[in-house]
Amino acid sequence: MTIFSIIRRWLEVPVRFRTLFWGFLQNDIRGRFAGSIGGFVWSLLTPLANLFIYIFVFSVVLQIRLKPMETGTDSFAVFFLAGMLPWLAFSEALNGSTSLFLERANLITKVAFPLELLPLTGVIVPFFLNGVGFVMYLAYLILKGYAHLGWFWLPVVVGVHMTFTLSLIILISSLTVFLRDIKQFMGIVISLWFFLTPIIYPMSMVPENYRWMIKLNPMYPFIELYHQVLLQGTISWSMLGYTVGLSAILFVGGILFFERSKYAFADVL
Amino acid sequence: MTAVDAQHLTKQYRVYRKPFDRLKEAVTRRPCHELVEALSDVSFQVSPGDTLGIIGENGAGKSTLLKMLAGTVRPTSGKIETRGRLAALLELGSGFHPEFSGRQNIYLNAALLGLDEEEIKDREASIIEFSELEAVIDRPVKTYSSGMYVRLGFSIATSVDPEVLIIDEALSVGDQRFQQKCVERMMGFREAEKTILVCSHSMYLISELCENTIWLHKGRLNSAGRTSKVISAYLAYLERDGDGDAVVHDYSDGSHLPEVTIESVCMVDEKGRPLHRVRQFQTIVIQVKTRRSGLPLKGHLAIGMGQSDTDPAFVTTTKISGMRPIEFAGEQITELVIPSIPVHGANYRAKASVGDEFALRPLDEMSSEPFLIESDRPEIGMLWMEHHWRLPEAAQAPVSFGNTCRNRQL
Repeated sequence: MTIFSIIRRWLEVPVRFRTLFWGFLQNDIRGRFAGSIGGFVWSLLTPLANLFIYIFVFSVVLQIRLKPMETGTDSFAVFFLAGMLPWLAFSEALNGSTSLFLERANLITKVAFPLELLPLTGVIVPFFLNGVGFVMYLAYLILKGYAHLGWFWLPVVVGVHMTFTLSLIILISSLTVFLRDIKQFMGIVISLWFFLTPIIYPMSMVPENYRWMIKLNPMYPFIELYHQVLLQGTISWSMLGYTVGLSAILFVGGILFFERSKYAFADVL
Repeated sequence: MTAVDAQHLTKQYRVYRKPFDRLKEAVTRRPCHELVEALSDVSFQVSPGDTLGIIGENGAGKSTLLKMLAGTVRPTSGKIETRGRLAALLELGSGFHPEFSGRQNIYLNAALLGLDEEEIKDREASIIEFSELEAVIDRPVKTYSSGMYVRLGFSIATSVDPEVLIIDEALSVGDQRFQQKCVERMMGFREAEKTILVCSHSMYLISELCENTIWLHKGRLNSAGRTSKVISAYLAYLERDGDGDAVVHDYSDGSHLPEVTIESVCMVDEKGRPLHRVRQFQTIVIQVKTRRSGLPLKGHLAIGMGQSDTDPAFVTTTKISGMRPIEFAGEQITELVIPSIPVHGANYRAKASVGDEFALRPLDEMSSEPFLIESDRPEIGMLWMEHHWRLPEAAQAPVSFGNTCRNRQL
């Protein structure tokens, strides 16, 4: 199979198997709240509590001061949420990726269905769930007068970010089938990654001689793009180009690896 | 044209002694695994509308074969082709989410089997009806008993209306009545010219459903052909399994001596005197003398009676009567007592056959001398039935003039 037919397959599968895809999405979302009384409310309360803690610690206790010239805002909460909400969707997707196939071992060995649907579900659901909070955040920004024509770039940034996330998920989820230790490893990676990404601090606060380290972090340009588009209404072409290129390369690598290894899933699971 | 065409299927699994070996192999490219061959060079064809049984001991490769047919596992070499929509019941309800209601699970499960939303909507009612879960369908399936779980799974899987249906041991669960319903539904599939592949340890189910059967032994196709022949050979093998890795004999040519022989079948009266002429409603005893040399063997005995072999008037077996298998050892006599024989006519014969403990594989059979059953009843026909008459009411019909039509109704 050529790379083009594989890409076509990834585009075709969700359409051709839309009933099943829709079923997976619904199941995943409903499954998170099934059996609990609060249901959907919990999906808002948990991150909300976390966000308040971060905002309290960094804005009230540690008193991080922002320069509006650099960040477009002087409110720590506004700055923090612009990066944190996309990060939450990303990290949730990453966290779930290790069990994407392992959890459904029984299904994969017993029923033949397009496995591509699972990573797709794994990225869409966290983005959708965190999207609710994100929309509320946007409404707050509009109220505070941050709205800007540059926001039209937002769907592009989200789209590229989702492609990047999907590529990582495809790689991690299929690798975990063969190497289960990745599951334990992921926890450490995600918490380190969070602190090495300029979410709770602006890049300008990082000492010069450490900045190269942050710049190597592939999440840095994504968060920076969110900051720019949301708070300043600008977009850095070089960063957008870089993220598009990075996502494209990762995606091709991911689906190639997936295509080669997916037939072995049922053997190993 | 074939519905399923399997050619030289081979499946090898790489077995790593510890997970680290897999990593080592991936990095160093030096093989660190052992190859285990689950299936080697298995070929067979199934024509549309045929039912194929798959039998074999545990670990013979049945599950691997079924997974390949279902398309979840790829053969290492060889190829497999199936025509038409395929539904595999490898494990009923394997996609169920325990927290969701039965109804919600119908949707995802049916979608997994390839139905679209319209089709699922159309079938939802009939799925629920067949599963007999109307009362609990909106409760989470985690509250279901395992039998209910399976009932829902089976109802969904078979409602897909597949061209090719693959069933793995799925019916060993559920109560008797539902099992019967499942068998009936599969019979319906068979009549509708669907192709069915069944894997089971129940020789009863296989012989009920399948015309042809393949027997897998240690990953290889040991024999294939008519179900009765293959099952006989398989059961004979299982009995002899004592000597471990013994070569598998081919009994299909029938050249072996039966394990239990019938020495004689005769008719006697209550006092044991031989009968040649029988009077209708007399007590008769059919006496069967069997011989077993060697170790005792469990089995069942069938005795039938009629004017021809192909169309007996009556057949009963020790198994049908709910008795435990007979322990055949040495020379023995088994008797069937018929206290009052209702048939009459000439050239009746009693036929006895002895089968294994599943009452499936015939070991030996023999017919008695023909005998005459005389009747002094004037009625006509081959048997006498209990009867009495009810004559029309003696009361006079009222007579009125004018409307005769109405009269008749009165």
